[in-house]
Amino acid sequence: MLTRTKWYSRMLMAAGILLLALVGQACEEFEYSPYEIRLSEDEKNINSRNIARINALNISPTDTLRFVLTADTQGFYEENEKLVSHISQRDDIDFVLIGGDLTDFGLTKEFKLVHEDFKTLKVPYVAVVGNHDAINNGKQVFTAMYGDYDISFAVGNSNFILLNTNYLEFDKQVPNLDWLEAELQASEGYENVFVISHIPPTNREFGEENGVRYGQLMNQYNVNFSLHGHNHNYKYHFPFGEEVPVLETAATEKLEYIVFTVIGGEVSFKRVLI
Amino acid sequence: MSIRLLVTMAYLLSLPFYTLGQDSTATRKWYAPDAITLQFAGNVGMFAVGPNYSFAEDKVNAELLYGFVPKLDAEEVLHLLTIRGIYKPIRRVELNDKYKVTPLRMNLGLSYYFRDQFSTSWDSSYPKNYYWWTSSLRITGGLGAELHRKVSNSRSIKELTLYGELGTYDLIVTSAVKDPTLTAWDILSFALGVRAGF
Repeated sequence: MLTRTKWYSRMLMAAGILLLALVGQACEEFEYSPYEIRLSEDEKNINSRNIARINALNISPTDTLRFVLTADTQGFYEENEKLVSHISQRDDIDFVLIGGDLTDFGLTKEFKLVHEDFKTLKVPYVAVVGNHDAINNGKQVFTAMYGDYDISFAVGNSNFILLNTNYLEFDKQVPNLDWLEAELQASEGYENVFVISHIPPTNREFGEENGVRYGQLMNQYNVNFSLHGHNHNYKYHFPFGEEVPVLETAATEKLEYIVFTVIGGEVSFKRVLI
Repeated sequence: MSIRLLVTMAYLLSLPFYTLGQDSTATRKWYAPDAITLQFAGNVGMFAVGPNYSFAEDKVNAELLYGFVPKLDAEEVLHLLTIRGIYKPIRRVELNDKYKVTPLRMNLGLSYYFRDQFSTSWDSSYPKNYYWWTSSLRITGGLGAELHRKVSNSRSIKELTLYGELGTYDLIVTSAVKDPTLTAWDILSFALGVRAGF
């Protein structure tokens, strides 16, 4: 019979070998802090790299453009996976827009897990910052992974303006409506203009003083759609008059997304339920 | 973080060691630690260091660790303090006259982050219960084992302990509870440490 000591040490050795094998396989990382920001190359500058991919599609103003809007992927990894594979089954989509709140806590780990799903899309995706992405260390993570908060890019005859509307998380210094107006002025050569942000202008967290001017800008520059996430439910309404629709998409948790089709100056959309 | 705060923290952390030069067995002051711990990773900093206090024949330990995380891809270095308790339910097992093993150690810690973006309370302009956690405080926990080696030829250090741990933290645990597709390996990470006992 083995002595007590030998028995223990053999058990330990077996446990150690098992642990090392598991660690080596799945958990190669030593984590320093929930708030650390340590990225691989494919996790940096995602927006600008994906916009370059969209440009490389060479979509002309007369081509049909089709894009997907989704939002609030925060912690819904199971649903994100289903949504991504559902979109990947289609061949008619040019790119995907994520309307903010990629994460719950703005943690690098969460951003990485979301990117792991969305990078498997056959098409590029572009994300705008949400309020949950801007807390804890999230502002720095979003900047390192996705880039600037306020950006715009053009595809064919459409211009897309991504605006940071997380008023409370940015000390009431955003949305930068002067920047938005300059972008809208610069959009005049395009037939269609889309403004995408996380918090809708009708929410109190948008800043009441901003909501009025935002609506005026939408009307003045004939914006086609004001697109948002944040409230986790589909909503289509006209708070600024008949000309400018405001559309809120559901969270990925609801397993739905919106497909927009742009043909010339005609923009239509379809709500897709998985 | 200001240099002044760093110096203050270093001073406070070193206070317990002042009496170590004196007789280490008999009349050690109550605040003099029983050991010093240096840890790599494990969500308490890239490196964390601090005094360790031993109770109930080393069944229970208390530690206060200062940790830092270098910039890496961030804009700033992180500094944090962690207070934690370690519980070892199983007694040490003797391997030979030099080595002993503690088969199980469990730790639970609370970290405080010294940064502006980590607030201890949320601004009153936020809607009620908009965010439920406190961003400057994080709870960490882990399971591991220890290997002890007796040091006989040193006057100050009596024992060296090497330990490994598998750990996680509060926020990512809530994510795993919320989403069944997150596996244990998505939320766990590894830590290594050494402890020099006086």
